[in-house]
Amino acid sequence: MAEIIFNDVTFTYSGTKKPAIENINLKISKGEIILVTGPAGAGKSTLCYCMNGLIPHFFKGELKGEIYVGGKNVAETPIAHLARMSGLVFQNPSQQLVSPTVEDEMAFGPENFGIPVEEIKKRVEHCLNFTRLTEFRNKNPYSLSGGQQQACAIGAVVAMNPEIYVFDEPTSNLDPLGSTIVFNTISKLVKEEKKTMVIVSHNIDKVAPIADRMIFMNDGKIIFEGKPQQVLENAIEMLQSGIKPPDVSLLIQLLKKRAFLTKLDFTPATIDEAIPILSKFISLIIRGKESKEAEEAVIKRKTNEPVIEVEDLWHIYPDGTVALSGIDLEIYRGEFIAIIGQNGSGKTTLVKHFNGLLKPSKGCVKVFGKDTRYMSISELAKSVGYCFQNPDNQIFSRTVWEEIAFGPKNLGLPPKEVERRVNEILKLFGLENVAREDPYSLSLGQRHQVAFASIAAMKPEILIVDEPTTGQDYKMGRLMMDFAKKFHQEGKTVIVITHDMDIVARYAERCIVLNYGRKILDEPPRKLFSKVEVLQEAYLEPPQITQLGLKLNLPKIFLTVEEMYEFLMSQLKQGEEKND
Amino acid sequence: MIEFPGESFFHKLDPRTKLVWFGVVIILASLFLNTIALLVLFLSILMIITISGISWRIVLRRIKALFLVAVLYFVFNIYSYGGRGGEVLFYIHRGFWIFPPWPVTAYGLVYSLGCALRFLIMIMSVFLLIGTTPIQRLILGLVKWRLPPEIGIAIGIGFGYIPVLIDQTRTIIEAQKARAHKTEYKNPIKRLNAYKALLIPTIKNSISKGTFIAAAIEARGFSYDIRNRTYYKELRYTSKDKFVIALLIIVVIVALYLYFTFPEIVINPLAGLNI
Repeated sequence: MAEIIFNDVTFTYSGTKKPAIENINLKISKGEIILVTGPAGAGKSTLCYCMNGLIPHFFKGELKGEIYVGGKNVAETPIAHLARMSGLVFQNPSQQLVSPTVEDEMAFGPENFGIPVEEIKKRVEHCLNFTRLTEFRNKNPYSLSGGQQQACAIGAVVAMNPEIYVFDEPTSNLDPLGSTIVFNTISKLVKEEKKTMVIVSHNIDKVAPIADRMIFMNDGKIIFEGKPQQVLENAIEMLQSGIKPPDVSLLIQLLKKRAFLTKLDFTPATIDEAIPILSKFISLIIRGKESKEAEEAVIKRKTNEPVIEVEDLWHIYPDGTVALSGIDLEIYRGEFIAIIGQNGSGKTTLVKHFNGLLKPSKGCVKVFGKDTRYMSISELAKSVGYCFQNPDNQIFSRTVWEEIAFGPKNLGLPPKEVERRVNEILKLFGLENVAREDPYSLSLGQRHQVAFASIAAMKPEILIVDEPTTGQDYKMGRLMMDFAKKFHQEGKTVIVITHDMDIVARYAERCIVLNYGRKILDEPPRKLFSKVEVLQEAYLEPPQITQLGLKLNLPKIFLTVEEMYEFLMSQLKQGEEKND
Repeated sequence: MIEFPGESFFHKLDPRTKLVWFGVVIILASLFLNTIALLVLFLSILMIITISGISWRIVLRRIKALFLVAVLYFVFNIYSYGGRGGEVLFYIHRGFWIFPPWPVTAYGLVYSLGCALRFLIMIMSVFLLIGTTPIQRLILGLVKWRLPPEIGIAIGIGFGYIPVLIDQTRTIIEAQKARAHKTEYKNPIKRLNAYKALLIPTIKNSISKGTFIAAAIEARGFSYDIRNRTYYKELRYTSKDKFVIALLIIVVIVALYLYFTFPEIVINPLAGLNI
């Protein structure tokens, strides 16, 4: 009998009209590993909550149809009994860690089930070992890095020894290093325990190789279902509905659309799978060698007017942590800069010096020629806008209109000007329809836009955006970046902090890589991504398509799938012309 | 948070033993008005701090503000009770304009000193208890004494969550500052209004985080069978605990004997002092 069964399940949260999931039919067998993906609002989390009884017992609403987990009807079984069979790892570590130390965290589940202390001790040792957290056993979980926190959360579920593991986007709030830690832990779990697993993730290329089946959801329904390599045949449709399929899948689908690779009856997700397929195809069409010299080897500047000058900047926190050591940097008017690096590499510390939230411990930062040590934050706010990562850390007004007006009002602008600006920004961001609504009633994606708009309304010369894509789906992330681009096109300077290499590749003109508080690289993206080894040291990976190009030894460095596709097409055309 | 980590005899006592010790100190400090008795009690606390190997520098830093409160308390007592009983030692002033004279007697002086001492004893014993016992062990001790485990665990999670909340609050303040938000207004109404921008996101975030934490502990089987849940870090009485409990029992017996046999000495702040 199947381990998990959904029989025509529809669930509507109380207080909402639209079902979060609709007519779901799904059977998952024991030992199967399922990858679930889909854009924000597709119902992925709702699906997860149904598998351990949080729905309908904790999150209330109207449930139609039946769900069976391990042979038990979910609606009739207490949540704690379901939790013993099916362990859930949530998206955000800070939503699930509840104990003062790592080892207590791992013991918490088994304690609740009344498992004898001797057995708990064994399990805690195993889980500490398994997640490589033994040396941190007496630390507060929140003092660990994001990846370690999530590993701790996984360990705490492993300690419960469930039959089913459910992971609800376990890496979407983590940096690349953290994601690597978590995916390694999950892969190890797959190898060591032959358990049923449901993994919700946007990192399809990481999960597809271990998954038996892939499910693509949109709008509360299952749209595609099957082996990952089959589901990825719909890569273009998936992209259109808002998520990002692996670059290689997309490229192969684009080629198939043009009637190439017709004999291929599947679509790979990883570079290793794609290379044998593409290398043959490419050897046929590529003639002559172009020089590999990237055309953007030198950063092109629109002006030579520095807006931010950083000289030998050091920052030491009161607890003694050296966050920045000796940063030298000049940022010119009209640049589009990406600051990249792991959490803890000093990115946020650095940009907080640009708007005066932090002052140098040593060295100096000048904004428009003025030393920030002698300027107040509100003075700097006129010229430097800083959009924080989580919109819920700033939204407080009753209406979207008031929220956006907050900044301009604080700048002391006359009411007429405030009104003019707010209306202009609302129009630019397409938020006119929700201007009078409570910002908390909007979706997370829209709240991100409101937060962004509220900074944009202050019309700063320099715009800093902190991780605009973290925790969002691809479509929303791109939308935010397109707003930043509009800003840039008006001649403003844009600085983006991001982990998302696709965003870097598509938007940035100059990339600054920080590692352990030092600037290790300062290059245009094309040159940056050719330095795979240096990037690896900072645990960064170029976009999949760039790596593919390098591995196939193509004569150029590619940043996007479109670029490579067009290059291949142009080569083909040249070849045809020659043959004629 | 108050934390004096260490591995000393006192640190390693069972939290329940420390709770008993704490109870005894509080009761004795409330019953005895005799200054010598309070001094003995105060010295016993200083002794525990010494044997626990807690740095005096840290202790002083932690209680600096409270020491000031103790001094104020002393001054206040001198003002209210300074002139009670017995002959006047000296006058703060001999009366002027509408103020009556302010005499200070030996009784008033010693009594006020005793009150300040009692305040310090109570505060320092709280610090010692909390500072040398991890909060979850203290709660476990209370749970063993029939505190409902739901409440115990809720308190534990609450304490564990403080760093997260502090971090969140800092971010909110920074996010609003980046929008040129100011709270430094002279007008109190304006200032109160300005705090709205900080308070509302803090409250809303905490509520939504609370909901998720509740869901998370349910997902880990919290309500499985709470009366029969086990505890990974069991509490165990050791011979040290037995020794301390025995000592405390003796102290209590002696104290009660004194209290009932010589009530006039026990409640007289001056008794035993040659003033």
